[in-house]
Amino acid sequence: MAKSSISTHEAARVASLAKLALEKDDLEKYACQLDEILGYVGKVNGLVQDTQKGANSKLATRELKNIWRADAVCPSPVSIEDLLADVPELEGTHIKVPAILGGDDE
Amino acid sequence: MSKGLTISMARDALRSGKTSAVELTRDYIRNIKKSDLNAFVTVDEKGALAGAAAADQAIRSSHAQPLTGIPLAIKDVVSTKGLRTTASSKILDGYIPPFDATVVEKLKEQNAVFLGKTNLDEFAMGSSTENSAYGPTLNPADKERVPGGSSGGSAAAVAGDLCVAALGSDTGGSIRQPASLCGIYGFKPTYGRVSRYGLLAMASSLDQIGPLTKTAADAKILYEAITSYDKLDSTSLKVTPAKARPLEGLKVGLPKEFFESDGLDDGVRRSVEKGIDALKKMGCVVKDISLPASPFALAVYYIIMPVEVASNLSRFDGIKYGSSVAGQAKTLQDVYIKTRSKYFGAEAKRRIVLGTYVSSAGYYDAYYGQAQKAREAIKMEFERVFREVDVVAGPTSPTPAFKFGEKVNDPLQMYLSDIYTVPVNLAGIPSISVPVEPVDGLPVGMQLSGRFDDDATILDLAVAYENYVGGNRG
Repeated sequence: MAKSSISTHEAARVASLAKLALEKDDLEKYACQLDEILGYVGKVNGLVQDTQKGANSKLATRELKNIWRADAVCPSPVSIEDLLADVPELEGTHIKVPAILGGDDE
Repeated sequence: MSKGLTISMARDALRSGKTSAVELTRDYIRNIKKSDLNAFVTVDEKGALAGAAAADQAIRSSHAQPLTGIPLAIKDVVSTKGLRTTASSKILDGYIPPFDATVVEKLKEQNAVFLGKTNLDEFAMGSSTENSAYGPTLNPADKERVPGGSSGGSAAAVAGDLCVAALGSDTGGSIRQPASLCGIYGFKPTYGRVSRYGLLAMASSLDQIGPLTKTAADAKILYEAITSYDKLDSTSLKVTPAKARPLEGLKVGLPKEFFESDGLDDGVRRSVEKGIDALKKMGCVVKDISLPASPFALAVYYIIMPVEVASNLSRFDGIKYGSSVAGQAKTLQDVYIKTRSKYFGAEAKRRIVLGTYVSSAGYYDAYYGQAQKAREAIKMEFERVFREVDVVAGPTSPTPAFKFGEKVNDPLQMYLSDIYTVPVNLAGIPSISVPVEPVDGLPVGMQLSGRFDDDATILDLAVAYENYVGGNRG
């Protein structure tokens, strides 16, 4: 595979934004594969330019409409007990999580 | 009894008392246990038999509905209350949903029987089921070949007589491509016609649940059972569905880009052309058309979909449900990173990283912004074409089923399997894959796509085609 224009450092940074830690080998593989995929998907620019040229106007995304509902309290179809049944760590009816900062002070 | 059994046939047999739902369910459970296809992640023998007993009761008391007592399989990305739902991912290995997806609830109201949950590419990401954490599913037509994906378990289960019919989900072709590769019917409804509530989201603006069946008539029966407005899905369509158009003189467009593309197998092209000849003989008017934006659709898809994947899969963090390293991690950040790194598979990670990259500051406008505009161009192009024709026809997949390992290490090659199916998801329109003549014993599908909300016409056309060519060739 050709050398990637995305560095492994950059791939690692993006992975960390997505809360993933990748092994060095995987980072190198992913960087190359991402490079290839990004090269392929880069062709969308051509379509946008061609369409705008043909239509003689700028393409805009269709206006999206938000879908709202009343902010009203209504009974949940799922009981709290059922919802908590899948929680990895519980304390009473509370979801238990480790410290947000540090870790050694726990 | 179970061999080649369709919904209509099973219904007749149940109502005439020729068999019972319990007997039929036992038959299928036996088939599943004997099978080496690895089509199921979870088999729910106890639940299925209890459901079948209730169905028999309903039939005896003359309360039978179209799917009462029919043994079905559900793709393991659709939530089933009390029954493990894994998305074929280790991150949900022990996850038991506390609620049913709306489609499951609707099928339960009819006393359908659920045999179990079928295998898929992890979180529906793939075209071969090779990305499943529970091993690949084999194609019943040739066990050295993939069944397609991501609904490969559902397609193999239907084609291999391990259920009467199945539900799948389709984000970029995940119902139609495996249907094509396994020689069955697979229908992706109009976006918004089937509730996504309870479907484990992959790319929310594209995902749609639909049927995989042995006949087009069955696809229609199953679709009609699951379509509804659902207030729990904010993109659910409220307007009354359009009525079917008369089939006589229906205009069918053949996009030259679909037939001239480099990757199209010659045998597939010839089979699809024979299918089109049949449409002509049935009275359809066939016309050459052009969809110049369609060759860009896959590129657009591989920007939009991963961005939505990265966002949707951020919920799997080891805190509320699913597999977790909680208890072994020192900080909250550690729980997130270690859980996700340990339990997500390679393709899920690849798409999360890709989606995070193209939506990150500095790249957002160049990739995601442009892709949204390009998606609009593709939608506009379909709208233009549907002013001239009623249906767009072509191949479902460029090749018949490929061998295991052939594409799994080359993601881009794998992605190209969906080159004809992806434009349909970007436009949100209905589309079905119908079996045409096999090539060297391997099934081939023809894709028929219609206007937005024209599901009824597409299904009627598929039924008429099936009747014309004399039923399923699989």
